[in-house]
Amino acid sequence: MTIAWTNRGRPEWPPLWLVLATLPPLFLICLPLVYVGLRSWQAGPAGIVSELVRERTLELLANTVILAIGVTAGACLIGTAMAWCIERCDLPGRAGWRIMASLPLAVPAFVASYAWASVDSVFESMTGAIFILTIVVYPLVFLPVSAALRGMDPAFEEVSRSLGRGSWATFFGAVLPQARPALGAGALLVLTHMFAEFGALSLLRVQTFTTSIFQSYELQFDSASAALQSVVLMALCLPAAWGEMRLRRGRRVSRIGRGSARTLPPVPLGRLRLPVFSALCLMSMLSLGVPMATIGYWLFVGQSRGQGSAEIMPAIMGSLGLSFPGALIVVALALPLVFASVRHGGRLAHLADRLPYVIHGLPGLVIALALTFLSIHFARPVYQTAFVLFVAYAMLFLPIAQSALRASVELAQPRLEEMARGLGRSPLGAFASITLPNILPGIGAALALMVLELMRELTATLMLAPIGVATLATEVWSHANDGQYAAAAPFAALLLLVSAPLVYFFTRGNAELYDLR
Amino acid sequence: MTGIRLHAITKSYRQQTVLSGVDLTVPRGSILALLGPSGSGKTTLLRLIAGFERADGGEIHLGSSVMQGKGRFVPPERRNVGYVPQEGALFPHLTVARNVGYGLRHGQLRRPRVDEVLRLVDLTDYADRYPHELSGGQQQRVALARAMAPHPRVILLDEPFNALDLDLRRKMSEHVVALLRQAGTTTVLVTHDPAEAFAAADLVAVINNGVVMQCGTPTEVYNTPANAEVARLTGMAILLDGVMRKSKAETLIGAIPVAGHPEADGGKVTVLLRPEQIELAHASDGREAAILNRHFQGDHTVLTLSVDDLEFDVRTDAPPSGKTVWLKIRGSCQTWAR
Repeated sequence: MTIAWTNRGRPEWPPLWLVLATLPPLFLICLPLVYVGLRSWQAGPAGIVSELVRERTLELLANTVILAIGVTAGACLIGTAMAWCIERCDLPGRAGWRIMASLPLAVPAFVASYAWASVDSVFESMTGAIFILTIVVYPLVFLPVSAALRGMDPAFEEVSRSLGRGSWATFFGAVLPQARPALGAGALLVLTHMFAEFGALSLLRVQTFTTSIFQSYELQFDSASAALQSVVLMALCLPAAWGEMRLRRGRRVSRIGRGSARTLPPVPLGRLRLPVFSALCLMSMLSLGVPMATIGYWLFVGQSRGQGSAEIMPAIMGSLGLSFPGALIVVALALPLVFASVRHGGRLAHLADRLPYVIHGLPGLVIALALTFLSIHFARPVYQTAFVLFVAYAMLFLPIAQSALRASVELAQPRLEEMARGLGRSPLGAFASITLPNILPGIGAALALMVLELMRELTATLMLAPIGVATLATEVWSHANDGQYAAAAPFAALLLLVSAPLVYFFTRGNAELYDLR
Repeated sequence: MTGIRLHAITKSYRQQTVLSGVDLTVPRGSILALLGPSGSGKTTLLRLIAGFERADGGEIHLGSSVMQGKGRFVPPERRNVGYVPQEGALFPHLTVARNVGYGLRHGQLRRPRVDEVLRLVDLTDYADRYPHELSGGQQQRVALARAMAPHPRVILLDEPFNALDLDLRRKMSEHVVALLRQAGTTTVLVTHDPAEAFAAADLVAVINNGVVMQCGTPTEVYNTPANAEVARLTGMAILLDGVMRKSKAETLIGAIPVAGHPEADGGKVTVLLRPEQIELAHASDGREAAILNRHFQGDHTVLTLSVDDLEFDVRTDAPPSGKTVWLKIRGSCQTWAR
């Protein structure tokens, strides 16, 4: 019966309507690949080679890689150390620290960079960028690793200790290897984010592929060198994004059915207690305290104070006007993908489920560039309309919507719908009266998450928003980019307020929702 | 009058054949138990009757109307079949009363019928609770009430009490069967427990590897199983090799009279004995067997015995001391040509 049962739950091919519903999102997310293919083909092999071996390209490549690796290494170190201290040591107020340590995610990287850059221009450098980005993104490592440590069977640690290994040897020999998939997924996530980061780097005046592509784009929409640089950037991003998705999926499965393990008594820190405690306080100071204090300072001091005040209402309206419809569209596109993958099997459903996870690892910049190019050449009427921006949102955020929806779709079992049909309801009636009410809370949560995420989105919005439309994020960036720190402050403060509710999602413990841009 | 008639039903998933030509008839108003091991296809058969899936071939009739066959397929919502799945599958967002009333049309007298069936399953006080506030047994009773409410012409029960502990399961089973008999609904009960099947059903269909191997009254399938497989699935079975000699089967533990029409002399047969046919006797008249193991169970003891290389269990109220016992066979045995 077991075999029959698994087959029964997953018919080989989804019904036609579902296939049709999965095709538009699949088509949309393939657009950047089309763009890159087209442009490379236009440039021809000789053109590609000559662009790639230019000194400028190599310099950008070096900068991009140094930055990405530096931040990833730093985030792994800090994230893992904090996870171990908070989950496994007798620190006072561990539950509170758990939230504190994930809070920096609520500060968008470009807001933190703006804050630090306004403190001293010394931070406008590669070293400064690595420092600032590390303390902002380490929660991407902290969250999965601490979840792994929490869920770990304590028996391994006990056995290792009873076999004569000390606490350090046990950590490296028994604990860390088990947390490795979580650590790896977190590291790859940081890596993809760093390849894709634009806002922070442009404010910190660091030259990487993204900032260079943006400059070429500002000079000329159709820049061939921007296109070829995006090809190189995509070649960096896609493997990392693909690997991250693989690791993350593996982790999701391996956690099923672990049950409630015994909890291990925490490791006594002894004399180290005060230093560790102080270090954690310092981290919070740096990642949260400094940005907030700086923004607070600029709210009341500074020459450019009040210069942007007339733009506050339009920016709020702009943020709401883009993020609400954007969220609806992304969730509506994600829903059939999730249904196809949860309820059915087969190649198409599998592809529809996975592909968005890989594509969303692409920089918002490349996606925006691709959409600009394609809309100018092939879809002139939609060029510079919000529609193009919504397509970009879909590419960047589909997986997050998918992850947010999956749990509730999994709970709404198909057999409940069967029962409803057995009791005399039509297929549509059964869906409306049984499945829909059960997934509505999930849809609501996904919409809320999406609205918050879209309000923080900078790069694609900056490049694709219809002319005359500004958002909180783009206002922060343009004022800060012009050195008007005080003018940027009210927008940054509002953005932090918007981000605060995201903490609710971080602390719910769904490992797939940690991925914030 | 037939309640359900299945003819040559086949069904496979990918390369895996689950049902290969099932024929089955359930008279109207009677209770049929579908008895078989895990993976035998019994749940699949139930889902085909309910219309949740289409058979690859064959015909399904309910009463006088065709549900599937001759190019026709009636969707589940128009079959008027009540289905009670293993885990109940109550709608989690609806109260007990609204779950039970779900299958009733708006025009029907909804509330009175809901109250009526809730009274039948003894859950009147729980009408406004949500499924997660009920125990497993209560959930199953709600699932049954929900299935019964629209007066279905057939009720299908898919191991409905599997999740309950043994005591509760037997009690529930008894209670439910009494209810369904009273209502006169044609019922198919899927189970892998022979005791449950015998206690509940008018007819027992033994299914294995996608075919119905035998269908008959409980006493028929137990006493005269069609083959060794059916014998094993319907209870404890001791299977022996034997050779026919003067209308008796000569076996390791003696010559046993054969029921029905015996094979010709010299024919090789497989002999079925049920443990209750074996009595412990005195040394003078019987076959000696070694006691390998004793399991004291309170009101009886199970002895594991061996005769040469044959091992089997017997029950006894008065276990003998010592290492050997003597066996005497009571009644006649069932045989199949080998």
